[in-house]
Amino acid sequence: MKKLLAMLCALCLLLSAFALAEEDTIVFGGTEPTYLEPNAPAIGGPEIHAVEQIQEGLVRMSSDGVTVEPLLATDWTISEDGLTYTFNLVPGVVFSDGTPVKGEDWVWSLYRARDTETSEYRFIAEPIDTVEATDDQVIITLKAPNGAFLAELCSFNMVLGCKAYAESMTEEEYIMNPIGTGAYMLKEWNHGNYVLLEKNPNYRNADAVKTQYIKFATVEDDNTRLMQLQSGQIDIMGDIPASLMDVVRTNPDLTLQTFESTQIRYLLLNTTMEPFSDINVRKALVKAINRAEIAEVVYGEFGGATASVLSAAHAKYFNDALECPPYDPEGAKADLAEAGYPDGIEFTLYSSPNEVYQQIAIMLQSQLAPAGFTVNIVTEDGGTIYENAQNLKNQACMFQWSDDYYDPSEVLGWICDYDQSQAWFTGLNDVELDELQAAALIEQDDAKRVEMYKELQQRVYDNYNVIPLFHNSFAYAYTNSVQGLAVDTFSNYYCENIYKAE
Amino acid sequence: MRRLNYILKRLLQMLPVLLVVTIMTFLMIHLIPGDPARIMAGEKARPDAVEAMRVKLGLDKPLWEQYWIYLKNLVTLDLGTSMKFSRPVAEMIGERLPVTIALTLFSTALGLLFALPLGYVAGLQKDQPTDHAIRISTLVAIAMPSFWVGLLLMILFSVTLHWLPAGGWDATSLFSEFKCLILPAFTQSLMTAAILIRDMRNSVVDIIRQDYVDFAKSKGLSAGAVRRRHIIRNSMVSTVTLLSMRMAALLGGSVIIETVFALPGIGKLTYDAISARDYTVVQSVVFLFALLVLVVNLLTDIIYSFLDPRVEF
Amino acid sequence: MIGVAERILEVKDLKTYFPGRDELVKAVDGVSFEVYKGETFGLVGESGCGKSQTCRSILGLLKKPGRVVDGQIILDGQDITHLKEKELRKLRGKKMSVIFQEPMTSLSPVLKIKKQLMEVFDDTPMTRAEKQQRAVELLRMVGIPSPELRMEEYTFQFSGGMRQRAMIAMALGARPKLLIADEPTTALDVTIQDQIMKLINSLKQELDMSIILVTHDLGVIAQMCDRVAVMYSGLIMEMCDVVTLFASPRHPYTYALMSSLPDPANKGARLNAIQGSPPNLAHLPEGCPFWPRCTECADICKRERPEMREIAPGHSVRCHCLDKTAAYRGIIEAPQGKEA
Repeated sequence: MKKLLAMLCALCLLLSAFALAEEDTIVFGGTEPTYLEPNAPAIGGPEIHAVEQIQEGLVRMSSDGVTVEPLLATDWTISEDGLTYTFNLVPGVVFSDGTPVKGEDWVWSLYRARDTETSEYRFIAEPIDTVEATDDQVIITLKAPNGAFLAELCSFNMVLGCKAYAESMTEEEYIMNPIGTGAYMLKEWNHGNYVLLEKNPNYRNADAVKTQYIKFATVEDDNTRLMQLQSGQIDIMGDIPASLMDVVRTNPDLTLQTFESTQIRYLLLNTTMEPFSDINVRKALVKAINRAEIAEVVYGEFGGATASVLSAAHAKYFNDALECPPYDPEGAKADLAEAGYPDGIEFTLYSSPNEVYQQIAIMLQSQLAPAGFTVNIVTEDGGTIYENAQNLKNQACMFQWSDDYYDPSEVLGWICDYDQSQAWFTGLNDVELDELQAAALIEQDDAKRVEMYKELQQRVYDNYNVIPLFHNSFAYAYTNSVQGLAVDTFSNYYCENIYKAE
Repeated sequence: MRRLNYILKRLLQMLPVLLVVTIMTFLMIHLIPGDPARIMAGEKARPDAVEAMRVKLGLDKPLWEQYWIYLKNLVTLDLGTSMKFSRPVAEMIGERLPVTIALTLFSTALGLLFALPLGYVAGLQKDQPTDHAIRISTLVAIAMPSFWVGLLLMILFSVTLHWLPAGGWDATSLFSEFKCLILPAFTQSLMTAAILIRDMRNSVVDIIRQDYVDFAKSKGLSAGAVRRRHIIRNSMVSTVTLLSMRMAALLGGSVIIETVFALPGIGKLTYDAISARDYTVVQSVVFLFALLVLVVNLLTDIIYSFLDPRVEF
Repeated sequence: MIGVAERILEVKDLKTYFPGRDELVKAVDGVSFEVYKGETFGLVGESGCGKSQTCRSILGLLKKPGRVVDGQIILDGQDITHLKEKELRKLRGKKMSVIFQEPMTSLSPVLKIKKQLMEVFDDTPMTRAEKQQRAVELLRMVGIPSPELRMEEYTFQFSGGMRQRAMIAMALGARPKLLIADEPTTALDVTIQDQIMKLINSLKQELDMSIILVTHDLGVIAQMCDRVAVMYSGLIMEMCDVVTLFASPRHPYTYALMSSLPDPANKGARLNAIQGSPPNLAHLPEGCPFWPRCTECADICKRERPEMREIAPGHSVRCHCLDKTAAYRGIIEAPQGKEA
């Protein structure tokens, strides 16, 4: 009897071992995507990562995030006036269900990117005036010259979908199950549990795709995710919080890899109400924070202070002349007194429950205290903070930004174009800044454009309303057998290159 | 027959309660700050996208009209479409509810398995070292945060021993589901057991003082018969009530357990829906939960009436 | 002289103490008596005098932390003083059983009467049907009408008197030789009391049992008992046959008990309560426990506890002042030839 039991147990363990290691699958652990189509509402990281395995665009950003490379287009020309872009297409491309790609698919897809009313990123396609296409070419005409357009075309939502397929079902069904020309296609979506992609047999480079299945498993909790990585249930996990990085580093079976990112955290000071309506108060505050220390504590070696609202990843556009002033609480206190606040200032800083923001808030509180700033930290959920910030009700709050494509116009447009975000919820309407931003967007001359964007960064710096705190890299952890993972600066990766070595 | 009448009466009484629940839920979720149209549209969405979203979700209509539409649909058992996921709410609940139910049943069974013998022994050995040990253990169990216990268990059984998965839900077979539920059910059962043990112990202490226990012994009954038929049988009555209450609470899903163990259950769905201001999902889930609580209450009363014949209708 | 073989129960110098945190309660402090086959032996005294604890000691049903610390209990020739629970269980129900004062709390609230009756026959090889049949017979024996229907009911559906009858049925189901009845009628109203008493008596004849009847009601004693022991403060003060008890008591306490009965000839007169209050069993006075309330108290009573002395065949008294109490007259005329 006992022997039988023992055998039974052994058998079960054996079977479970097989279940754990599915053949030829790479498993990512993370948050579940809401939809799988880039024009669906509220697209974020999880959605983008899944979508970009399925659908492709005309061009793609190089992995170092600097050069625009051909993808479904082979080459292109731009007209003299900068308004017309003509792309030659790779011949013989088919969708994953075997349907050949037609010109009307391109027209439909690009208009869709621009015109879907509820799409968060439709603004990226906004510059497009008209699209014409044959089976060999796509011709895009812009409303105005736009130096950022090629970079914008690399975005995850400027991709090719199949018109006939989409029109054979409702919109709700389509955004859950689109098809594309990419290396993978959707095989199964077990809601709340995982999304399973299978290698697209009709992919034009199918032979180079090494892994048959890609699985995005839903594991929300960071600790659980790490444990699943350690036990082999998942192979790759992204978004490792700084607190868990050491665990990965000391584990000989796991690899920790960091990738450059454009992510920056910002402190926003509301200029429409006291005390931050006074620029001198804002200046004093900036003197009394130690950004390097915050970066150190929150992200360790993976973070660093930054003085510009633009990420250094934008290379030539980055204004490296800007500097963080040294931490000087005494000086700040004196400045406050001079500004008419000898007894210091009290204000409320709103933070979401997210660990990173909580840490930043606490650090700011302790750094600002000796300068006479009393900070009340109020924790509210993200949606609430967002709404209040939008309505200019918060005195101070924190947000983050990551760029979606390689051009300074995205974040600087967001901050400087008052119509877009009321100067990022600080209510500072700097008309000159606004006009400069509009001009820079359409500037054709490269050198001039660089100058204008550098000036924009300087002006934002001098307004002391949007205060960049620090930038950080992304960290991914994976089992040693995983090869070929390359995450670009805009957080994109392509699974066709990933495989598990024996 | 009287029992049947009683049940019908209770079912009817549920209706006004449920109506009040829908009104309160509706008001609360709409009055919390946070604009669902903005949240659904995304942080970077421009105002026109946000407004388009608002219209699409029907949020531009006046509040009372939105409530009326919701109520009408509810009466025809149409739970609506999730604002965030664009999927039928009924479908989403249908996917998640079985997981939560399985977890609840499993953890309740485990809790009972621990609680009955331990509570009984603690009651018999009142104020002896065993009793103190058991009571201190229950205090410790209540004090330990469940996510911490869960993580520790996973470190031991998943990462170190590789016996069980570290969370996740594997529905390929009944056995794989069982494996996924063991650790979370155990974690959840600790709190259940702690609650039940205390109650069981107090019941037992109370009951062994009763004359009928002595009288039963005086008839020459074996210790086992006295224990089963008299002590436990009478102790169980209040414990069963407590158990049902606990189950009703658990059926609402435990967000923490589901997050830590990556289980696609109702608790996480509710929490995420509230964060995303997914009104339709929140309203339906809360309604469902209220219904569940009422039904479990009714079932408890019925079971109680079978256990204790003194209960009249 | 009644022979040893005729005794169903012998209690020798029984001491049952309850060790508490700060004090030691001496509930039974040296009690000795015998019960003969076929007789009803009464234990009478005020509340807290130790009569119930004496019975529980015999049955082995003392509540913690009570313990028998000294003495002997011999049931039907077998010394059961130090018997393990397992062995005692074999005797309970079959050799000795008990009925309690309050039938409502002595019967299980959640089991049917039928079940509780059938339990009595757990150890027997009877089939279920046979046990049910026996249950019906038992209920009939105690005078419950329509027993087949009534036994399907629950405790709370029975009236007080019926519950007591049911309890009696259960206690006698296995035909024990000794029935201990602890205040069996105290909780019942007077008319029912009488019925139950008559029932117990007739059953005693039918089943050839001995009974220990514990009560504080002298009327019950008069109606039911053959011999009586009067207890006070954990000790027996006087033990004799029932006629002697009422005709010529010799202990001041017994006499005081008699005097406190209402006198029908003297309607409207004040009742004679015994002065003082019952003693705290944890802090007994030195000497005779009754001395603070005794009308005959002498110096020696305060110093020395009197021993039990047989002053006539079958009549023992524990008192120093017997010369004084010789003058006592009971409340009934002593029958001829029974002058003490």
